[in-house]
Amino acid sequence: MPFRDDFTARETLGFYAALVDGDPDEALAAVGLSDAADKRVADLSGGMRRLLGIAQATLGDPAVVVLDEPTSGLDPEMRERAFRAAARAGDDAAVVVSSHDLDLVDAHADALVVLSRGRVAASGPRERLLAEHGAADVRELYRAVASGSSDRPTTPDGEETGDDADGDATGESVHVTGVSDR
Amino acid sequence: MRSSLGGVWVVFRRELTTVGRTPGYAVLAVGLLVVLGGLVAVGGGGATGFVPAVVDLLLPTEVLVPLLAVVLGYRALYADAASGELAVIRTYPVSAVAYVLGVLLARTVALFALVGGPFALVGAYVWLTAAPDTGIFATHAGVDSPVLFVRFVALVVPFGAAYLSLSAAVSTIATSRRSAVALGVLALLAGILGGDLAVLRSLSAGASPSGIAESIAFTPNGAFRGLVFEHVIGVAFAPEGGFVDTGRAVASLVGWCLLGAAAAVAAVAFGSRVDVAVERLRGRLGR
Repeated sequence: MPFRDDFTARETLGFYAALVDGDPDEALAAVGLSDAADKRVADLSGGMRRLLGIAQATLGDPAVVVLDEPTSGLDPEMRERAFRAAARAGDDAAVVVSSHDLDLVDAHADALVVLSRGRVAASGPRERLLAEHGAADVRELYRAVASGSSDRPTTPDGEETGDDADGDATGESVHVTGVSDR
Repeated sequence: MRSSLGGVWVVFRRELTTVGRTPGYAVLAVGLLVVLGGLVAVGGGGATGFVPAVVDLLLPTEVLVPLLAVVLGYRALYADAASGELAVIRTYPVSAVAYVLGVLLARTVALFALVGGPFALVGAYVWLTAAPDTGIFATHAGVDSPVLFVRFVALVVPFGAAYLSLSAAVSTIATSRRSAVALGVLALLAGILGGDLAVLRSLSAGASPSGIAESIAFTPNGAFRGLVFEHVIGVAFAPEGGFVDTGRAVASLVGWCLLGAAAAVAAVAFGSRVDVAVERLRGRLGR
């Protein structure tokens, strides 16, 4: 997260909170960082910084919170904490999370958007999408959509390429976005 | 946060805290004090009086104060932009004007402290060691006075602020720390040497020397130097004045400050749109 290293977690959120009349301590508590409030940003772990970023993003009761890969590079415990923090933010806001962490998306998202090579391959409420693709969870849905996409590879503009029928549409080319209900 | 003024204040506090936690700036102030004190000592010591001290310090001040201002300003706006925090800040209700003003005002206060402190100590040294008549609080012809030194220091502040504002504006177009340093040095050299070289060039091209008093006021260094001659050194030795048009010189220093601030605001407000336009153009050309 692009915060100033010399500032403590509380000072960092204090700056943003002052811009929107928010409460930095409340935001820190919401992501479980109360004990680290007086730690310098430079001394926070990668996961704690990510949580600090989520706390910053939810200051001031925004209508929409957008989190891009909030769990990349984190250990499993921190990933769970980050998603829980994002889910809590969803109590008052619509939270859009872009992620490859399919288990956590499965556990927390209310609606899904699956992107394949720059275009929407599937979207809708989680339960409906799972039923339509005969999938038990988001991971299976992902596989179903990915294999469907590899059968019909498209350009980022949505045009069918017609060649490269064996193109790899899995991995980074397929992206899942989880959306919370508000 | 309810008003733009509130946004300026919040950014101002954050920036001032950052400057206060950068020990390198304090080291620079100590270095400035050593250089200024050394120059006064070499020039005959504090016993010579305030105006002789100003004469000794004028040329070094024209180099050292811009240098300090550029050091304070060259990353002032670049740092947040490079780290990505500016993009985060811009999602909050703080305008580009409030953000730039907050940063620049905080850095100007820091400049005032870092430059004013050493100059005040040198002034105190002269006060304590100068001949008896230098303690007279008068500014009429032929009399040395602490008031003249205070005037000199008061002129140093807008002079440094002009360089700070310009270097901060230049920093908005930097793409790396190295390029920010290069651009800062370029601004410094252009400011210190550019104006005088332009005047010399115009004289060699046949311009009238009588026009120097007018043209010199357009550059920060020329305006500062002219004001010091007009209202500090000249008061004691050449009361008829005529070194520079005071109004024009003051307007020049204020104008450079405003120009830098306006350019910085424009860069912060529209920089991302320019980037998008450039990327679109590159995309079209690349097809």
